[in-house]
Amino acid sequence: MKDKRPQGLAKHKVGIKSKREKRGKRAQEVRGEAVTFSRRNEIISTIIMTIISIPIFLSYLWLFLSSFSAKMWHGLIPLSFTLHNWRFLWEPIKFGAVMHTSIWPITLNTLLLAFAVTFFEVLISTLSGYALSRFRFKGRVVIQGMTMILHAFPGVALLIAIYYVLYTIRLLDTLWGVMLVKIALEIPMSTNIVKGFFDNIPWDVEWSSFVDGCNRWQTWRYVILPLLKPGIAAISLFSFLSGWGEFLYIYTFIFTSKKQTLATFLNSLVGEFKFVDYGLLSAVATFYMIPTLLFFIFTQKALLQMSFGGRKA
Amino acid sequence: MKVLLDNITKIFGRIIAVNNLNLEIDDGKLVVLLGPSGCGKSTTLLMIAGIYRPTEGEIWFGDKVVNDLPPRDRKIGLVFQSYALYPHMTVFENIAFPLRLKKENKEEINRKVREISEFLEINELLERKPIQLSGGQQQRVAVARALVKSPDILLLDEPLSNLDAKLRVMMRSELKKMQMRLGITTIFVTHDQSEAMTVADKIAVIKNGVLQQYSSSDELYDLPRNIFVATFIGSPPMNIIEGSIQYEGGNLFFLNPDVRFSLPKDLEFVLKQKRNTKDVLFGVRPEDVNISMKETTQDSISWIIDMVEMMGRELLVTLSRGKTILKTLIDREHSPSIGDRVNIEFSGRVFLFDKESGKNLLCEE
Repeated sequence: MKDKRPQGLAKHKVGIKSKREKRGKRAQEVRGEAVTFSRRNEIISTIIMTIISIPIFLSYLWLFLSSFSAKMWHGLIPLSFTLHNWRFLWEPIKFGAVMHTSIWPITLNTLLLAFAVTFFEVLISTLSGYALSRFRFKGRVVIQGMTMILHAFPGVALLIAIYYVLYTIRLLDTLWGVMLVKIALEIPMSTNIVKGFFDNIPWDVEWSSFVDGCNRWQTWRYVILPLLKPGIAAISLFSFLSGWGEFLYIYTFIFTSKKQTLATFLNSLVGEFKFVDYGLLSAVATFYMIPTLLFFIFTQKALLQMSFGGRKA
Repeated sequence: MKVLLDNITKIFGRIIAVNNLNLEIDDGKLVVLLGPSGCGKSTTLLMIAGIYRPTEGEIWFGDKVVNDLPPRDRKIGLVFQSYALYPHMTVFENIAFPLRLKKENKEEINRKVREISEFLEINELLERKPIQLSGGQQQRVAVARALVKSPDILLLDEPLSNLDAKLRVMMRSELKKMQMRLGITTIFVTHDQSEAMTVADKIAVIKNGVLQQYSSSDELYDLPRNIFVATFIGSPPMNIIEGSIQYEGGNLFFLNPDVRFSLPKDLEFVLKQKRNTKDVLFGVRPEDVNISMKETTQDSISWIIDMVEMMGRELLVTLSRGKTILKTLIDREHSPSIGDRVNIEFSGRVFLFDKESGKNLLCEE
């Protein structure tokens, strides 16, 4: 009985000590985990991203497969291969009484719209971005602020006003009118993007090129343009996609079916009939996606390639 | 090539960046434009480069006015503090760029780039991109790019400021060596006075866009024209004490409530011609103040040691007497301690500046 207490105490002490040791060990383990955590983290994030993108990927896959199959088992699994759905490529489509125009002029319209928007947007916004970034002139801040305001307006809000404007300048029911509207509404944003890229090119680099023997044009061509590439890639991708995917303005301002684009064509395939030919629809939709994919593949490299080196602060 | 700045003024909006600057830079010399940041030295350099246009005045290269000549026709090489290498080009392409613009043939370009990169010891790096280089390597590439077209004038805008301290000291002597070997007229902008003193044939000290003094390092150190130059040149800076001068019994004294120094005879002669000056600033460099434990002489009665700082070879000792503070550099063998009372002696030159204008009273107008 006498020495029980001290023993107990001793035991208790030992208990504390071993607990501390354990805690220390655990801390070490945690620290050890932290090292491997990034790899585990990587795996987890890969899994999460895969799970999230599976539905998107599957729906595209379904779209692609169903465009080539005559029948889908429960609308999910393709059963037989056919090119019938792709017949719009070589013959006009006939649906009941309505004869659709051939898809090629419509594709051409869409391409024309997309490329025109891209071309003019890149041209105008690189020039205006340069001016806003490099020159100090009266009203510069105001212009910059106004571009932001204009960008903040949703295009839908302007629909009726634009309709009147187009009507007045006799550009209603023309692709040129739609182009003009698209370009005008998107220049503010792309100008701001490009301005950001110009801001990142130091004056020193530009001045160096002058001393090295460039005139203004050569400086632009050999020094500024290469450094601006990612910016140009970004805005041309955005503007191409927005031109290619434009629906609302075409739907509102274009009445002649020959002047429509793929977006409204696709809509008309869905909208006009009680019985929708899903095979045809998916084939047209797949066809509609091809240029977007191509464009993205070509610009992706430039988009990811950002090089602002030569500087160590 | 000789460079002459004739009454150069540059105005940005309401700010006068450079005010009526006159400067003559002899052929083959290295001249440093020295001053605190924002003093207009870089603006001056950019005007010489042709990037800024002087608001007034003329810039002469040799016997030609170059005001209207664009940078590319001035036959200059320029190195920026940031080096301003083209990030999308390799080192080779960076150096070859000026030659390509001159449409020289490929073999010639290859030969020249190889030559200059061997000269600057960067021939191993030619395939790399600027971002893969260290600061010192980037600096060499920038120098190579500036020199490859054999310019008449080399302009360097704070070329060493982005390097670490050790590399900076090494590169400045290398730059000087290179400049002497090539015999190229060089204009070097810096805010670092010790850098300026080591590389320059002549230094132009600029403050607020106005030239303060243009002379050799020695003269700048021994005979600063005004208080700004006196305190800007030399490290640690010159001690400045406010007070007045007085004649007593044919001797000249500097006085303030705390101190009373008798001034050397040769000062007396100069000052006699400016008898009306009374309020002055007294200046003495820390290395010209000696301390001793000896008995007091008449005008160096005991000072108290406030602080002792280790500077390596020497000690920087802060002395005080009343409100007057004096710093001195002494040998380490003295081993003074804080609180000690010591006496001082001036072993070198002392300076007197006019309190109002800041002018050195010992310089002729």
